[in-house]
Amino acid sequence: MVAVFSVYFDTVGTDASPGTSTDVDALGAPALRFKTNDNTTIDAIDPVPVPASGTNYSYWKQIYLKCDTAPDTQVDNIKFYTDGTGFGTGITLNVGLQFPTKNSASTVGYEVASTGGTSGTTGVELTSGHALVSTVASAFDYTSGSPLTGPTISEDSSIINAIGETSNYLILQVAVASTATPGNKTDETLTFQYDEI
Amino acid sequence: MNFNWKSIYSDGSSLNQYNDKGEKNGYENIDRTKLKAFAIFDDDKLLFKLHLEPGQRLIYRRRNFINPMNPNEEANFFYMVGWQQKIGSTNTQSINYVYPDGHIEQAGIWAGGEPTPTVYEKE
Repeated sequence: MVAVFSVYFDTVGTDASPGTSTDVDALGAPALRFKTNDNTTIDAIDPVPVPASGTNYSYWKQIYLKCDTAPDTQVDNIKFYTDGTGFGTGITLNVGLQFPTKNSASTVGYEVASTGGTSGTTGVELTSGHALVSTVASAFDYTSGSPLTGPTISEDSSIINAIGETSNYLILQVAVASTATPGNKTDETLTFQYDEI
Repeated sequence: MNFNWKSIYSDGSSLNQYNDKGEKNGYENIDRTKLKAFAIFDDDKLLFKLHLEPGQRLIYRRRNFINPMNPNEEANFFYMVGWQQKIGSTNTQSINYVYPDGHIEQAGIWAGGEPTPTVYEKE
């Protein structure tokens, strides 16, 4: 059987215990909207305003792959990349270079995105607010020819081979500088790839 | 579109991914000690056959792609079939990328995503 995966992201709740896990299949495109509210609603409420100076941040998104149909043997070698085009001047999509633990038995790597943030204004910068992420890079630096290796897998043997097993969290956050222009930005293409046998 | 594989052994025997009863053999069931060739079929139509020389190890994976921004987008994939061989300290790979439409591309080691052709510049 060919494996089938869904993309999920976790919101609200408390650290290590997300309140809601949402399958992006239920949302339709664009399934991820970066905003200053820790909800899954695709709307224009609580955007990330362009600051007069400095940088405003979206609340971070903690995303993972979840196995709906098990592979014959295993899935591994998950990578992430973008189309490399970006949202435009002054807007960066940051990706955490650590992948906090998320698996079928644990959500210990989850940290609430709204902690310290102010809806309608800014979230906390990822490396400052998330204890398990210490470095970030621009997601648009990762393209099909040079993808990010991860999110990693913390299931047994570091592979996915059963329904319900997941990758660790991949965490994304938008940063908006004063040089950005306001308005709804064009949807971007993000890609998870994985190998299966 | 129903991709499946067949392992062909040096003793004349073979192992199909699906046997006559429809039961499935896993990748781990392939006996690499006597693997001579590896073929990819779409149903019973041969798409690609890899012949292995002594010292060459089979590479076989299905590479899948998901766009989390657009879950309704049809998932993309291709099959990677090739070989790896270490000669001295040099790791050499030759990988064929078998696409769902049946076309095949070939490349060596690459970081990921789609195969990227090597660009040669004039000196």
